[in-house]
This record gives sequence, C-alpha cells and structure tokens, in this order.
Amino acid sequence: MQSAAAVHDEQVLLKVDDLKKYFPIRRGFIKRTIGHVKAVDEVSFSVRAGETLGVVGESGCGKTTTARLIMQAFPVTGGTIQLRRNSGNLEDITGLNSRELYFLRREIQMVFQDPYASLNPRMTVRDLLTEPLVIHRIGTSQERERRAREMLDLVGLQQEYLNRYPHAFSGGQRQRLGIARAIIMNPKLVVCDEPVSALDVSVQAQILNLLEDLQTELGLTYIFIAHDLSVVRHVCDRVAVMYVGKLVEFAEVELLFSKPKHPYTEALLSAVPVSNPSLRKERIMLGGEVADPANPPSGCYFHPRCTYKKDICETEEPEFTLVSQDTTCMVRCHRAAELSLKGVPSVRDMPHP
Amino acid sequence: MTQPIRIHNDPGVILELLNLRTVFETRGGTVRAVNGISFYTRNDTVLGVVGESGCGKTVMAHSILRTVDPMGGKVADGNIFFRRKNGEVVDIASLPSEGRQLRSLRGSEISMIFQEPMTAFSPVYTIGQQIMEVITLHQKIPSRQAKAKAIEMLGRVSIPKPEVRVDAYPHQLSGGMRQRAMIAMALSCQPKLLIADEPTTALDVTIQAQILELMVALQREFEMNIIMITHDLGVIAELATDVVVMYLGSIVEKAPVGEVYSNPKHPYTKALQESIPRVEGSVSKKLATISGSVPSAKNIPPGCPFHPRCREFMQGQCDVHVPTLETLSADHTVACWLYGGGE
Repeated sequence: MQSAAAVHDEQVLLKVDDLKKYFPIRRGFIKRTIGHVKAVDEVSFSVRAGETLGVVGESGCGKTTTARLIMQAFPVTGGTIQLRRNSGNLEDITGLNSRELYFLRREIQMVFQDPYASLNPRMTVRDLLTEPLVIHRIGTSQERERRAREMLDLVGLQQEYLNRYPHAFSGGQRQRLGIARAIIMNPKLVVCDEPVSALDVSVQAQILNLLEDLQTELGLTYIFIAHDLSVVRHVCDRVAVMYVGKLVEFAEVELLFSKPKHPYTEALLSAVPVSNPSLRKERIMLGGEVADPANPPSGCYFHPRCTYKKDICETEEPEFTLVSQDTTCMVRCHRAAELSLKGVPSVRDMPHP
Repeated sequence: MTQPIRIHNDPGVILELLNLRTVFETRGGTVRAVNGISFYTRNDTVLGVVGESGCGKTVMAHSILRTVDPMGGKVADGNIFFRRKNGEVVDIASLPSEGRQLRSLRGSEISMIFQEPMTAFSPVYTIGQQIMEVITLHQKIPSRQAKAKAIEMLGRVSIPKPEVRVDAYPHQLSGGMRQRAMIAMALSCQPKLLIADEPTTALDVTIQAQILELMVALQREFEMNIIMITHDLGVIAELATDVVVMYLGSIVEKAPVGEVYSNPKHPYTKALQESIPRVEGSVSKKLATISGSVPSAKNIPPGCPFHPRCREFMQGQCDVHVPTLETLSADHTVACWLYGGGE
C-alpha cells in the first residue's frame, strides 16, 4: 500500500493517507449520537505535481467530502493529508490552526460546480477577482488591478468586463471568472468540484480546453471531481473510483477505462451512454441502488449489487491493494486478480463510420 | 407556403406540429421560445429532441400539452394535430386553454414526465394517492380498484414491494424509485404519447441506465410514442430512433438516429458531435468548440439563428435570409443554406 506512493515520492504534491470523515447522526432532545455516516473512510491516494487526478463515483459516494477535506473546510476524523509546501517538504495539513490555514489557502484553491451560486451578485468582476489578493494583503491596489486584468486575459475574457456584475455574464463566462478567481493566488493545487456539469455541451468543451491550457501554461495540478466519465477520460491522467465513502479502484486513466479491475468500475463504464448508435451494447445492469453510508452492508460494500460475488465478499471486507506487483493499479476486491472485466472499447478498436 | 399534412393520410402518425410558434410576452420584449417548428412522429418511434438550454425544447413539450398558458406563454400560431385513441384528429393549438377537451387529453392520452421527480410529485400525498388521482380522473372506477391498478403499475415499472410502496410519500423513495413512480403515474392511463423532459438528468449513470432500459421496454409493451427531450447526445444514441436537433426555437435538422451520428449535415449538429468528450476513447487531446454561447431568445439573430457561431457562415446569405427545412432524403431534413434551404 505504501510502496506505490513511495516510488514517485519526489513528484508527489499531495499525499492522503487513511483519510476518514464521519458525520454523527444525532437524535432526540439531547441530541444523542446514535451512529455515524461514514462519508469518507480509509481513503489513501497521492497526487503528482502537474497531473490531473479524477475522482468519480455516484452521488453520495464522498467525492465532494474528500475535496472539502483536502481544502480543510472541516476537520478530518482520522488520517493525514500531506501537501508539499513552499518549503519543499510534505507537511501534514490536518489540524492546522486558523492562522496556518490562512496561509494554506494560497496554495490550494477550489473551482465550484455552479457558477451562478459561487459568485456574489453584488460584487463587480474587479471586486471578485481582487478579493483574494486583498484578503492576503498582496500588492497595492494598482498591482491588484493589473493582476486582475492579466487573469481576464488568461481565461479569455475582455478587460472591459472589470466593472460588470456577474448577472451580465453567461454560464460559461461565469465559470471562467470562477477559474480566474481560483488561480489569481497562483495556487499549486486546484480542486475542481464538477466544474462543467452545470454547463451546456458546447460551452463545456470551451471550459475543458481552458483548464487544459492553464495547466500547461501555469503548471497547475488538478483534482477533478466529476460524475461524467467521458469528461474524466478526456482530462484526467489518473482516476480514483469511490463507492460509499471508500476508494475501490485507483489507476491510470487508459488502464481503468480499457481494463477495469473492480466490478463496480466495470458496471459504471457499462452504464455510460455511448454517443454512437451503432455501438448500442449489452449492458451490465446494476440492480438496486447505492448503499446507505450510515448503514453499509457487511463485507464488501458493493456485494449486494455485484454479479461476481462469492461467499467471502459477504463476510470479509477486501483490502485496498495492488492488483499485482507489476502494475500501479490499486483495487479493493477479493477477486480482482482472477476476474477479467470488460472496459470501454478504444477508438482504435472500432470500425470507422 | 403550404406544407402537406401527413396526419390525415397516414394512420401511423400520432402527432404533427405545423409551424408552431410559442411566445412569452415579457417587459423586456417578446420571447419567441418556439419559433415556427414542424415535424411529425409515428407510433413506433422514440423521437429524441436535442438542444442546449434555451433552445425551446421544454417549451415545445409544454405547448403540446398546452401547459404553457399558465406559465405565461401563448401558442401564437400553427397547429398541433394529435390523433386520439378513437382515431379522431384534433388540433390541440385551437382548443380553449381551459376546458374539458384539453383535460381529457392530459394524463390520459398524452403524459409527461419531468426532470426532477421530487418537485413533480406533491410532498403531502402518498405516491399511491397521486397515481389514483390520475386514474379516477379519467376512468369511472371505484377507489379500491384504482388502488389495485396503481399497485399494478408500480409493479410494472419494477418497483420492489409495490403493495408497500404505494403508501409511501415521495420523500421516502430514492431518486431512481421516484422517477419509476413518475413513469408509473404517466402510464397509468395507457397514453399514446409520452413526453419525457430530461427524465434522467438528475440521476446517476447506473440509475440512468436502469430507467432508459425500462423506458425502451415499456415503449414496446404499450406501443406508444415517446418524445425524449434531452441535452445528452449519449442518451439519444442509446434510445431514440429519430432525432430532432433544435437551436434557438427552430429545428435545424431531423433525421433517423444513425444518420445524425454518421452523416450529420447541419454545422450545428456537426459541432455538437465534435464538442462532446467521448467515453469510447480520446484520440485528440483538444475538443472542438463552438465559439460564443447561445444568444438570448429575446433577440434571435436575423437570418439563420446559428450564423454568428457558424464555421461555414456565408456573408449576405445566412445573416439575411432564414433557411427553411430542406428534404435531403426520405427522412433527413435540414435547415441550412449549404444544402439549398429555401424556396
């Protein structure tokens, strides 16, 4: 488990170990805690500098909670989050006090899903963009304005827009503002929580291209949370698949899509509508619904919906381990080594229309 | 310009729209949400309607049910011919906006399912009560029989333990189950036309796959026509037999589903195809984009509505004259000056 991360230690920007977040369930007059929702449980992964790590899963699987934990929006229940700070060392960022968190914010920023809700309607573009600089007391007001103009150029908006309010912009333009606001601090890591799912398809492509351009230009590292697997395949280098708060598979994007190792990943890939009617396929239908994280099933959380389950799956929880010594693919499944699962055909294998 | 009315000659045609215009009068001006569209659909088809937000696809659906009137809209022009179960053809556009005739169509002959099943159900009645309401409105049967029918419908959409779930409130069901219940309610009177407005957009992919599979099965079983409104080209590819592509209130292309994907004609259809990332593999790293964004329906550009964003824009033609739907082959029509498009 440690070995996979250790190999590339000097490239690692963020290392998450055994991360846990339990939310208490309280009932009654005195708000007694009667149980916990294990929103994120035993999650371990690492992010290399300059890469895009995708986090996928169905709603309620803990993607956003993981993102918020990395942002330190709320404290962890257990585990560590190590970030390579400006000193060059990996430092644990859990349990920082508010002053330390203030400095952390310069290094990690977030892009939100809904650009209609994430921009204050009563602030002009100038105020919105320079606000982070003001809070962090960076530059004089002329320097801040210059920086804001640079950012507008960078995200493909006109500088004249500085005096406008958010309502004057379309969804795609607002998301550009959201991105500009995130990168104006020169962060190392940008956590994108479903950045394109509120956008129309033609605008979605513009934003995805912009994110890629910014990555090459500024050397950004992204954690990209999405539920749309086609978007993930397009932008990500490595992908983490989550199910009911746990990581079930972690692999290079091509490997994950062509040769998934976890039955859940296989089913997820199979469920994605393929935009080509000549490729209508036999699906692996997942029966039932996502398990309740407050009351998860015994053994492997996925076993009630799994078509490959054996007796051991119902009683014993599988470890999150390397599939074999010669790959970097990690998976949480008892039968990972023996199963040969079906991925999505690559374009190269397909007959041309 | 007189278009042939097919519904009178072909008994397989269920619905035919002729030059439909729906407008909303607002303080900022007239919003032409549906701007003169014509198409027809047959009883064995699943018609996919694709387009980005603001293209008028939802307003078109509400126009067919005439539920735009309470929304402040008005069917300003055109015809909506619909073949009733008894074979009679009615023009929905000309019916009085509140009256017995329209009410007898809604829910009984034409049903609609919505994107967010949580907001489409009333939270204060059980699922069963709401399905029974539809049944007893259209059929004179005692409530015990209606309840049995509701349970039967819930079973047919594969809700486990329907006799228990019939007494559940909407909040007690998960998103996927609510959407199933919504479908059960829509089909309880065996309509001939089911309009599904983004029925899976709010659902996870695995649940979406279940719902789409269910809809395909029910379409065969009930022999009904489905109009599937969505922005997801993948969903269309999985489900539809024919596709209508809309842009700013107009139809830009209509063709069988295979044609739309293998041989798209309109520059907008082509651009949409190229701009979606594909799960089946990414060869090129860069996505093709459509420049700009969809303009407001308050000021639709003159000429072809797509011309400001079009890659094959022809000065003096596209920005002046409105192209009309041109027939390329039997089922393939396109509104674009590249292909004649005009009288």
